[in-house]
Amino acid sequence: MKKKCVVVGNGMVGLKYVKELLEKDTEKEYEIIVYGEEVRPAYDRVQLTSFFNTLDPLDLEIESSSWYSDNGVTLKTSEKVIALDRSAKTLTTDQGTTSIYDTLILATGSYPFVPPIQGKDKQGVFVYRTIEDLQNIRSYSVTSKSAVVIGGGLLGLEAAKALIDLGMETHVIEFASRLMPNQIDDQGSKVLVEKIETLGARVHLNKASQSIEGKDSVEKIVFTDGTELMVDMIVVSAGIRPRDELAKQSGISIGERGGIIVDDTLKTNDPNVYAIGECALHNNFIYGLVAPGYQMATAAAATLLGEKASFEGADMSTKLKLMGVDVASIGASTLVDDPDVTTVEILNSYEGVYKKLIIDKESQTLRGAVFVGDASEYGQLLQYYKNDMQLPPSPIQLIVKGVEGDSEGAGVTALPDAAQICSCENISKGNIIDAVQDGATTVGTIKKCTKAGTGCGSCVSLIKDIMDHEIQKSGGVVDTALCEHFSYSRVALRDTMQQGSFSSFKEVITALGTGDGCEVCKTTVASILASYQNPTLLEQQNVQETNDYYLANIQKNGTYSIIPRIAGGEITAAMLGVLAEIGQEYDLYTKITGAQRIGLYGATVEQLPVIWERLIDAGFETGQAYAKSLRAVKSCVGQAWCRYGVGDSTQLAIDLENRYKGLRTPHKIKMGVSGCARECAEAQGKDFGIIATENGWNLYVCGNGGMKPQHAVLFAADIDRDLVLDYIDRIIMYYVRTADRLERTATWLNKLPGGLEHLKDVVIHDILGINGELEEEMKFSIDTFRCEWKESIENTKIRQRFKTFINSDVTDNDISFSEVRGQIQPAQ
Amino acid sequence: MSDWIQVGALVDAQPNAGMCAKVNGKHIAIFNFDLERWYAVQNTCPHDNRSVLSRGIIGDSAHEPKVVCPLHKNQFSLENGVSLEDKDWVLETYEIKIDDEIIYVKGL
Repeated sequence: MKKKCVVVGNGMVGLKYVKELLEKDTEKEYEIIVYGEEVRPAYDRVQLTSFFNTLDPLDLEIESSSWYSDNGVTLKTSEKVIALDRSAKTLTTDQGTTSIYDTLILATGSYPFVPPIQGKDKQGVFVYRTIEDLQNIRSYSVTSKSAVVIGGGLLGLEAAKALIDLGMETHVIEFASRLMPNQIDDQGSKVLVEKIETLGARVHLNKASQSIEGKDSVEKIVFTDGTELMVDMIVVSAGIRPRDELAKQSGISIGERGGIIVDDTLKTNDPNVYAIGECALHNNFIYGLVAPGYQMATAAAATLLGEKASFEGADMSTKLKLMGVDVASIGASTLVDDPDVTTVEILNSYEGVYKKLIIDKESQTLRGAVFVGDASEYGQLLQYYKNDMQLPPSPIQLIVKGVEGDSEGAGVTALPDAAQICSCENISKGNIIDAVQDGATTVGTIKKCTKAGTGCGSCVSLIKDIMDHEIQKSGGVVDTALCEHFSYSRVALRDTMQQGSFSSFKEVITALGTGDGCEVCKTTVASILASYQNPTLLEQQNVQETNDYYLANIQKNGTYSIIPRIAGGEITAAMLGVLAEIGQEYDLYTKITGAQRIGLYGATVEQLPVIWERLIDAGFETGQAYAKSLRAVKSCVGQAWCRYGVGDSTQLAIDLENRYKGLRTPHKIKMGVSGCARECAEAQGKDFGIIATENGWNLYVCGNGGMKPQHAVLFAADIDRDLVLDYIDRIIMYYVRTADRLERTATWLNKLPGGLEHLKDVVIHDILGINGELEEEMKFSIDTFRCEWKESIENTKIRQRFKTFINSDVTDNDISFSEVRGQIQPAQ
Repeated sequence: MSDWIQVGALVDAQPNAGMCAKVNGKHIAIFNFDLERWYAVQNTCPHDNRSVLSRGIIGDSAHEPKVVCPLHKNQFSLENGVSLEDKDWVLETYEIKIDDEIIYVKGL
């Protein structure tokens, strides 16, 4: 009969143990039974905050329920183990069942510590650990305006970011004199505080909470220094405490301040009971990070199967993004006043960057490091630290970006093969090189065969660098295939297509690819065809996203939005009236969009052509808000109205919008025009930003907002209107020619060999001799612009598309709405 | 119960596209490759329970015909309805045939 291994706790570390045991137990000696008190299987708690993005718990799932059964593992969720009888080797759960074990793994994790503040049980006080906590925080925030986070550690700052995103006025309270007191130093904290405050949270240091007041729910919080804050909700993130109660009541040894005492093999004082993860106390230390927990799980599983393995403590170096700010620490990052060490510190208050190296004077090795605002050298320096590598004679060069931009790839070559790259899975550079030599050519394959990069993911870019370097070293070519159907990159495919005379996806895939195609190549080919041939996408049947097919953006409930062009954000009162009338008549949700336009939301496919017919009769045209193309050109009122304006920004914005509308590009393009340096149109956050000067216009290029904001860079100063248009024409077409699919201009410029200088050489000095072609291509696009909606309405064949069902003329009656703030909203 | 049910005419179908039919109150997504290979699955994407799959792009992945949901790009096999991304979801699938230029489904 198989021996029973019971794992108590189904968190990330508990699951890791199960996986390790499954893999190592080739003789199938053990039957694995897992108990988890949460309702769902283990999920990615490291990424917990991302739950707010989709609100779908499945997005955090690590393995599905069926994975457990497929692997012969019994998983019991919503079942908590409440008692142990170690002499009988049995356990009892809160469901009243008793079962036996041969080996017991305690992976019970930790609970959030809530300091004994008076009133902490009032409504509106939350902790931040489980999906349920986040669901509760979200629903409570609907009726709240302000929030306090108690605790300025890394989890507290994550919580604060989430609260800002939920629209709360947010305060962070920290008892210590700095944020993240365990990871960074005072100066690092100062830089971090400044960054966080610009993001909209107030930080209060040296503050201890005394009481939470309010009738039944939170109304204010009072501090020991007598100050107070009126607040609607409180999230406590004041550290963790090990869940050791089960061990304690069964007589297993517990540390003085809690935690289940384990030795290097992760055994407790009962040789049949192990403890791993945040509940375990190793060398009087609780590890609250996932990587050490994984190392414990691996060592414990190996020990159980008689292998010689041990956990000898782990490195607490960590790199994270807090509120969009990179923060990282290596080794003894908070070490001060030690005569054996010296430091290199860089403070760049202007850009909010602080870096510090703590260097051992004698051995010239790295003892610790702090990064705030920019941690791009973290991976490389961690390798110096872990491998005790001697630093270069002038270590400052490791943290100052050279003008030439020393690439991280150069750092990769200096690493020894033994260097640990992925600390979650303990994968070395050598392991990755082996994988490449065994034929891996994508990061995905490396992840699959080595597991590197599958934990916290912070090493993925390092893995790619090592892989690319290794491939190039062995004379190979880095794989840039578009997808499994085309071996061409987007750029190569576009160049090849332009040589031929293709007019449909079918012709392209028959000649240049294999199979039936997929969502990647179909949309890419459709976009390429449209970018240089400009039959509108209407003629390319069924190779495009639903948005391009129905000429509208699909919304979460399967209805669509209608966004006509309002060039430059300028609209007459009469035209506004038309939109108002339609919105009212069809009961659509109306909102000003982020691009100075008006969106009507909630139209069914049947309604789309009817409504557009009305709009086109009234003089509107499509706004292409559904397409990867120019969206809108934002502008201020400029010289015409504004007493500060020095240029006619509205006129230029309208001209630009009409010039570039409709052209399909690798990704969407946004522009902005400001009438003076006050920059009310936020042009420098756009792909193309134009700002009026006393002498003409300044042209900024390749900025973007979105996930990773980047300011546009100055391309040319004080140029006239015609030159603005010439330059933009050429840059856009050069972008269309050379960018990867779904690559915004900012990323494109970042990757473009030679960067901005190269772009200037091409566009201004014509070193490639292609400016004539680029201008011609743009002229063709401008001359052949057609309003896709006008055509769709006039063409009966196309108009037939706008039907929900092929066998019925009724629309989808199952779509329902609720009323919120006097307007419709998709029913949840 | 398991009779063939007429849902549309071949002439209304576009090659390599999806369409939706309402049969006994159920929404059925119908896809074809070159009007030759036909598939019918439930139209509701299990991720969000919205009736949208017929508006997704079809293609293949390792020779498995698939549909990609237009909302969050979840992918499903058109052969057996199984999620292609190791998620727990399985779409209902139905038999489909073309007879004398008429499209029929069965199994509802």
